[in-house]
Amino acid sequence: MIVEQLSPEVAEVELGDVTRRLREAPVDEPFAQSRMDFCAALSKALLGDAQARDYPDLQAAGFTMRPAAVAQLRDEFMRLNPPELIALPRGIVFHIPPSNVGTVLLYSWLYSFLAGNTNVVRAGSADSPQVEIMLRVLRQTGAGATVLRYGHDRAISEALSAVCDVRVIWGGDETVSLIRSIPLPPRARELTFSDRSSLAAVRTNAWLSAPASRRDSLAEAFYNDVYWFDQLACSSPRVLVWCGGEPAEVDEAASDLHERLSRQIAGKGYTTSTGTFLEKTTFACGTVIDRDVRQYRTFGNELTVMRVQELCAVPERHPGGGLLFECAVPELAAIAPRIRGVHQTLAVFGFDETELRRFALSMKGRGIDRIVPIGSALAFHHVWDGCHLLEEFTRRLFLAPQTH
Amino acid sequence: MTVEELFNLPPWSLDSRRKEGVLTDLCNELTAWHAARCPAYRRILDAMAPDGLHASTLSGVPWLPVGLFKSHKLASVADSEISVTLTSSGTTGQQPSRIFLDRTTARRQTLALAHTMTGILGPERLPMIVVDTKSVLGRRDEFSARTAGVLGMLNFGRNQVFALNDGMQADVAALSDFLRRHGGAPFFLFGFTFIVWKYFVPAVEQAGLDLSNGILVHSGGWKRMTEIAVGAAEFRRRIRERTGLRHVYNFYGMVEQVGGIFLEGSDGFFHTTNFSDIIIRDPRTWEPAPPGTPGVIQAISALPLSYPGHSILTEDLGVLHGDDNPACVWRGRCFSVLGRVPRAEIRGCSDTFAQKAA
Repeated sequence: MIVEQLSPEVAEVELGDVTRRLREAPVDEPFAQSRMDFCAALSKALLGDAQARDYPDLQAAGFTMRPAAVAQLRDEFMRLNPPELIALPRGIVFHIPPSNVGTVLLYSWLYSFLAGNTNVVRAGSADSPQVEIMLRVLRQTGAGATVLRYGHDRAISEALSAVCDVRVIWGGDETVSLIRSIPLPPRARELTFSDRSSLAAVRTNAWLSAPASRRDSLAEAFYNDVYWFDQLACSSPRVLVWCGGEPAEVDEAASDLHERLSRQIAGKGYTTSTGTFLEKTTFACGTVIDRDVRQYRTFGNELTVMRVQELCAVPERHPGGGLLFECAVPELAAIAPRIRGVHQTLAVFGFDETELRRFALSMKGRGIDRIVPIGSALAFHHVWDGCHLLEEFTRRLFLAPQTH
Repeated sequence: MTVEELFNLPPWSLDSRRKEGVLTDLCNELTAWHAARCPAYRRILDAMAPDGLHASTLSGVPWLPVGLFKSHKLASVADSEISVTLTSSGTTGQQPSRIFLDRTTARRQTLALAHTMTGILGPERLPMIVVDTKSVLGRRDEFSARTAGVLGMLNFGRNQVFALNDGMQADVAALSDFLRRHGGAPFFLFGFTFIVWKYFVPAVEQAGLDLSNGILVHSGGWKRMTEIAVGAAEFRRRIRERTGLRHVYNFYGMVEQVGGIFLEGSDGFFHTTNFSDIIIRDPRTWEPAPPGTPGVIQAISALPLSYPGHSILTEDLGVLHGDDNPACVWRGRCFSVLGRVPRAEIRGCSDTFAQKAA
């Protein structure tokens, strides 16, 4: 069977040759110098590429691969392993990234590559310009990954699954179920990243007492969190929880944030298409019918705010494009019982670490995998959805202490 | 003025200024009627248009997005009162709209259609060519838009002949026979735009049939027509050249709105009837757009009693040409339909792979 290959070079290749090459490719120890050098070269290429410079997410990926950042990652990883445990690569890792959040492809590959594995990546048929730029830069840098482009050809996924040691499936519950039905070798493992939804929380009085300039920079940070992927990424906040404050204070803080956020939207020139706005409005009407909505406000086509009484009144589905649910609680701890497994990121402002730590423990494992400052909701981290990716991509050889 | 009184006037007789007042009053009554009977509608009004019960102008009447009829059941009568459920044909994979009619609203629908059609066909029933297959009449319990359209129109004709067989090929023998008997005097043709264009016109031209006494009403499917890039004016011109048909009336309407019946006048524009209206809304400000500025079509009808469909924001783009075009004997606001609002593209880490694989 012939398949389209995009890396190491663009070619039509025989699938059998691909799997043979994957099996024969050498693995390296984690953080081998040659692999760190490759990342350094790729980082330099991404940060210097005229086209890549237009995309902040590609620039962020370039920064993640800088030699200093990779060295720091290596040191952190080494600290995880006591002398009697030797970290080794798992072998062949088969990545199935989402088609549209292009940089996930790069991050999924990066941590597995640094772990020393051989990598094969599926690229979808309708990828974004970011993916095209990324793949071109990757090709120019060298042979770091095998990337195949195919649509919905189950036979290809079967052949790659049959030779891999780890299969990584990124998002969409349907994608996960679909790929999961393809068997893996008995010793192979699978990492799945399913549909998630995310929130933000602000301590009302912290917002009100912040200077105007700080509130503007927070509004900008929140704008980035909400709008970068049209509010459709797993980590994009859909709900804003106001914690503490009298009702009048919450209203004041919320109005202030809405105004500042609207100014950011206007300033950045972000627009919601008419189609998305109609979809959003239809969804909002449906939510008003089905849920306990206390207040509905619109700020142009780009921002719709719906105040609900309780976090559980927020629907599971979300149309994106700037629809923000809000609710007010006496303190952050009050939302803990409402947190479920689907909740991924909590972007926060105004809480001290002790309170956040207590909150993390109080959820008793039901949900939330990341608590980050507002503005960092979309920043990729090697601990994602509760998995330390470097650990997932390596295995531990136990070397018993030798006694003489 | 009541709806019944409107039915006593010719369909395009009120000038726009007069109609604005009449329809605003009727719509305010309907808003209150539905608010009292449809709890879902009441919730939307309370949350999203608290002042909507007392609109001072027609453009102040609150609207519902048309998509809501797909996702939610909206009815202002008890289930036991529902006599007909209309469904939209819808795109594949999409949930269809469901519109619930009681006897009164269904009767109003029939009356409105008759009233409008009489305006172009005259008071007598004419011999009729249905540009469709007989099998489209299949299911009668839950109507598709196509079935409902054909069924509704059958009443305005007599000696009906179906122009197409089940393979969508023209039944030239039946058509020739029909024309031999009825072709010398006015006769009525009805069909869906795309079907007329793709399956009927070429066969008529090839067989050399003369339709010059025909009055064609066609509707729906401009979305598919834009795919093959035929505009309204070119459609008329080419049909005339190829079949001799001089009287061609496009029909714009949607299953979601009973009484929203908009026919193309001699000026080539759609006209609103006495009991319906159109507002073109600027897609940025949602204020009414002036003539010549394209926007999203809001359709208004004074008729729906059994479900809150008197004011609907469609997903169609249109442009207003003005009020009471002096070049046309028909009064009322006139407009063109420009196509659909482009659908939102899918982004984010959603199920793009599964969608393609499904």
